[in-house]
Amino acid sequence: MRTGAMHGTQAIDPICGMTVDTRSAAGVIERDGQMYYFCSTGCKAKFDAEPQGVAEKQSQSGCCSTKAAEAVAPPQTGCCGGGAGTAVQLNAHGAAEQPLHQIGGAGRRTNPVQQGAAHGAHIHTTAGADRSEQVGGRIKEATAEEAQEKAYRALMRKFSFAAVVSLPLVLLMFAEFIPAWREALMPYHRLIGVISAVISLPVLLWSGGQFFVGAWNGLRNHNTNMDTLVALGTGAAWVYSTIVVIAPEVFPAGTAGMYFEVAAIVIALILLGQALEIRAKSRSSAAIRKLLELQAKTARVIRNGLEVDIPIAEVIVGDTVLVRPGEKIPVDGVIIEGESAVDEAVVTGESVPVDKAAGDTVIGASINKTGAFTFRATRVGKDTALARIVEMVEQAQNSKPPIGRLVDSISSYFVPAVMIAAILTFLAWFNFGPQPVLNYAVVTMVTVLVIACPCALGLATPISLMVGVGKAAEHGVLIRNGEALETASRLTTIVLDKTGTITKGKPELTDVLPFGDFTEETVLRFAAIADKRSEHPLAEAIVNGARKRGLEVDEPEQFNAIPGHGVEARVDGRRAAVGNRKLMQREGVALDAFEQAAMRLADEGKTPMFVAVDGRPAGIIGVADTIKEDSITVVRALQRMGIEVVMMTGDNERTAKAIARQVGIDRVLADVPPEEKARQVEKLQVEGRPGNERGGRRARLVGMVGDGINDAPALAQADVGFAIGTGTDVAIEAADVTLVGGSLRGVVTAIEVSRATLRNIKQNLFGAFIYNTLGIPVAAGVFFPLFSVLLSPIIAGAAMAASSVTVVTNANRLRSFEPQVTGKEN
Amino acid sequence: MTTTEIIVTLAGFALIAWIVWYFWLWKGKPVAAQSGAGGVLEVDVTVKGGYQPAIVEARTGQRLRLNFTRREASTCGEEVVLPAFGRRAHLPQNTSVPIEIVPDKPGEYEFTCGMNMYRGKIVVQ
Repeated sequence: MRTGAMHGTQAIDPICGMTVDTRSAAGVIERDGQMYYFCSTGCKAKFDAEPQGVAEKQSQSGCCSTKAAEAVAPPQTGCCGGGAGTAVQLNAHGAAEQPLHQIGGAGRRTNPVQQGAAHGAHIHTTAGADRSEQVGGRIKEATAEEAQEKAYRALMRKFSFAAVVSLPLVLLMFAEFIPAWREALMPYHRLIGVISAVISLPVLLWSGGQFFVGAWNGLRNHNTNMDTLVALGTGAAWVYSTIVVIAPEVFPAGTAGMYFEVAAIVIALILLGQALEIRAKSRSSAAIRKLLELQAKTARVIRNGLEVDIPIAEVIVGDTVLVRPGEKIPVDGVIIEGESAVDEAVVTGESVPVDKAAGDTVIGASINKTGAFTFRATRVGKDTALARIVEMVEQAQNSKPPIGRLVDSISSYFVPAVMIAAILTFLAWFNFGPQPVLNYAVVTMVTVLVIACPCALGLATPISLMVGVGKAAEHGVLIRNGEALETASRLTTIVLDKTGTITKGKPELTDVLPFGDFTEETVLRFAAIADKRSEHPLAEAIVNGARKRGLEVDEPEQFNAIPGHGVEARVDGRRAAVGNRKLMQREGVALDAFEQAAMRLADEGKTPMFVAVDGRPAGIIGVADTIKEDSITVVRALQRMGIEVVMMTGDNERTAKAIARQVGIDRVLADVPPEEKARQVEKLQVEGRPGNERGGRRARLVGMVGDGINDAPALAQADVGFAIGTGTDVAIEAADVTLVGGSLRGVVTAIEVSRATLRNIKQNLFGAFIYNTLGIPVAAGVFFPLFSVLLSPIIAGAAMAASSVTVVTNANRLRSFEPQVTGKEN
Repeated sequence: MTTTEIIVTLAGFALIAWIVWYFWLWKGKPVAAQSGAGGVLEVDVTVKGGYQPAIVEARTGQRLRLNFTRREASTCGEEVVLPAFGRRAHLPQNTSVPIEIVPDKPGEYEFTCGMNMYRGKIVVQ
């Protein structure tokens, strides 16, 4: 493996080829999602100046020039000979797999496939950028995972030590509550103090050292964080107790209390909380890892007439790839030969396999179910649908919804505010508290410092967003950012485009109604020939319908398409016009004969197409688009969610209303030409609804669902634009939400997951706010005048540790989200 | 009030005043990113109890590379997030991790740690 290759914590410097420990690398460069590690700043600068060139030089210069290239070249085909090769393949988890040439013995050819694989791997080292970028992505994952695991283990070690050492201190604390023990230990009070101070010191310095170092670093930077609070709280408790042991006489009688166990146990509990938080956080980011794990590891390509298995990172655009039943499709492409049913659920969230034949596109990471086929690779590496989904999901997870902005401004003031609260608490108890005032003042101050939890506030929004956006992606719904998610959760109106969204977008011929001396056959023949050169879907439906009825559709003698009206053509020397009512008016054709039949067709949800020959009415042709299987379910689900559903179409009002009735939509915007769609969305946005005015803000939040290409301006105008993709078009620019599966159900899922995520964020924020706003006054002792009870700093420390864990655990509840409307219902 | 109480109370308020000045009112000095290889503006940011420098000056439309190096064991700063650019990076200890962005509009763009405690900003002119 070349540039960016990595084995555990080892990586290859792409410039000099040296093996570099990623933990101590002199430099790292992330470029387009790929990580490069360097042995020196010189290598880094060189790479920096010409990264592309370096990549190319490496691949062209052969395997001897760099060890990185050696890694690719197997010994039997490379120029370095056997033995020296350090080929490392990464699996989906970033873990090292056995090198190809080592399978079945180093340097020994085992079978033609392996041989070919080696050859293929060697000759295509120039596949460069895509391959290394894909691998780079995995390295990044592996590095973060390893670091998380390392941090978890370190925290648990420190926690274990603190817990074990705290145990005798806790026993001594309990002894205070048993009169007989207390009296027995009284003569040894000072000795016990000395022992406690000595025992707890390593807990503070080793287990809790990170808090003190963090607090000091922060202080030097005019910054505060959770470390500041923990260090101040536990430090104050320990220093106060130590002074009590060394010079008890400086304290007024009865105030010489010792709190060593408080310092040690609070540190132990917070360490445990942090360790649990790391574990929970790694589960929160599982969605992205899961997506990456879905990739196939190898591809079977045909090179030089041989079938060879190569890592998918080696596949280049134009490769012919062979896929057998039950195998994963390695990259995106177009089928050349063969047919099969393909399960694309991994990318689209759709559980029903899709039939594929020559000319159809296939998506990498989907599963080939039934037949074998070959396809031409069209998108590899970072360009595949899956890679783009991962990139989009990552970006969305790292964005911020507006709801998080308040927290941002609060958290920057939080820790100093808690420090001030602690000082005020100390002063209040010192000046107005009961005796012994110093004891009360110190204990309450420490309690205030250790109960406050800025992390719970800081984590509340991003952790839920991370889980929610990942969950949506699992169901084939790509949400562009946190703002889109928040707006989607508050939508009041959804506009559905009729053709292609509610209906299948493939109209079919249903009726032919001749007038006068025209027959069904002659009307249809005139219409089909006139429409033959038109690209309009309605024209296509007429031509196909005529063919199905056994008519031969010749070329028209003359043809003229009139946008928004229909077509004019010369057929058998006669002037034929096929189109809508506007075309007939333009042609001066009397509509009286048409009216009744046209109305009947429209009432049945069919589009009437008028046919005139030589300026005389010849007949009407009915064309109907079939409603998608899930349209009714989706409309009902949206209405149940309290969302008004509006249908928008360029079709005539009568037909549109008939379709709307069938799917249960009450409001229809008909006769809307494509260029008017955005304006109609804007009109809906400013349209006030009684009781829904919000101080000058738009009364309605409108979501628009369309195909993302024709509807781009309307999607951009809408508060949330939902683009229905086709699996491979995953990142539609104009859309805030892309429904990769192509199903309307995704709209419901997107709104459901957005609402669930926002609800989760609100729960987290509420919990964190309430915890801190109630916890701090309680810690300060507001209940003491009423009930004469004070919160123990140990309980405060436990509560603080638990609050972050609770936020992360609550966010993880979103992982069990299931959409209400699924494909199974239909 | 006894003399001790008065002294302790005054000391307490003095400490509060210091906290307000030191943590809230103090403004860091901005550091302008320097032109590096390939015309990329570059600045090294040390992560140690915060970001040094915490204010980075950049120019509209010009690629900016922030080289973050975490010089502390504390996990507070182990992630850096640039929400406006949808970027997040894990920062292994003592390893320079560059993040490249192209700010296309003038304004102030924040970078924070994963929990929003460390805060810095990019001032784009």
